[in-house]
Amino acid sequence: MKITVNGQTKEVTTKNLKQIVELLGFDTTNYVIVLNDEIIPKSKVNEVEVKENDEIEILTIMGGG
Amino acid sequence: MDELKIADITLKNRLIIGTGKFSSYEYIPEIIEKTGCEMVTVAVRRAKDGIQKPLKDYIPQGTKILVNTSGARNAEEALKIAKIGRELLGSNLIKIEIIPDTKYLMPDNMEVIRACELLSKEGFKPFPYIMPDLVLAKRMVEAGAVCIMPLGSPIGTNKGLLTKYFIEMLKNEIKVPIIVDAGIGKPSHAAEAMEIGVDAVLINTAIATSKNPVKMAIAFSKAVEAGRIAFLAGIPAEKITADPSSPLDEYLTGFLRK
Repeated sequence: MKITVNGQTKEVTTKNLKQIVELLGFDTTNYVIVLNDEIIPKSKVNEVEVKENDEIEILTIMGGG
Repeated sequence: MDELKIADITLKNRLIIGTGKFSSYEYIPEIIEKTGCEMVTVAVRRAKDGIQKPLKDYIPQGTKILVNTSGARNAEEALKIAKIGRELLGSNLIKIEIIPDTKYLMPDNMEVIRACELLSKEGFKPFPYIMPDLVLAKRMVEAGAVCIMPLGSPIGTNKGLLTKYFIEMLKNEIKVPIIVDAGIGKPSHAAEAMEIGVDAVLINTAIATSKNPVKMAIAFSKAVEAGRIAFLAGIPAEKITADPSSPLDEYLTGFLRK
């Protein structure tokens, strides 16, 4: 299944959002997941299923003024 | 105790530090330790990769983290970023930064008013970053701003308090704390801001891009403290004509001239 993660196309084999994010090397405590422009609360990440062509943004805090 | 209260938080230290532009996050914990800084600002961005140690790991426990909405061009975008920040950090404090102009990075004060309304309704405590304008700043306070963050000069220019008179107006007329943000290029600028009675300063570029960020942060910390103490002590008014520090007496005016 093809999805977009942070602007890049990725091929994934699982539908589980938490597993996808963790397979990409991110934990779900320091990062927030936005799925198709909707923030997924940390407590819900494990319950969400991803569909073909979904857009995932993995966001975090960075240096800023 | 000289404390600064903003919304439901209290700061003893009036130097707020921005975490952008550092060549390494390694400087951040040492700077916080050596200056006693209690609040830092951060931005929300795409995660680079999962291997990089997150910025949060460099910020000591107990330090207050203020997320900014940098990158937002209108109130709706600011709200989206604020919500992500809240999900990340669990805090309602949000620095509203809405900047449509890329050359001088001037904030859109009108849109900031709208953002203060919009974000307040969603439970946020807005810290609006603005071009100092008394009338619009009052509107922001009415719309829920918990402080006002006027720019001294454009972001990253190091030009100091070009807007000093307008910041003084805010300080005199607005009840919420005033935090000078942007343009402060050296410790004397920070002291100057504190001497006119602003409540805190936010410094980023001048520390982060210094050859020695830790030393520069210490210098800023001392300047902020000196300026604050001077303000509390009461700075005497300027005069047009001279007023001798060594008084004349009859020996000088009489005997000496015989």
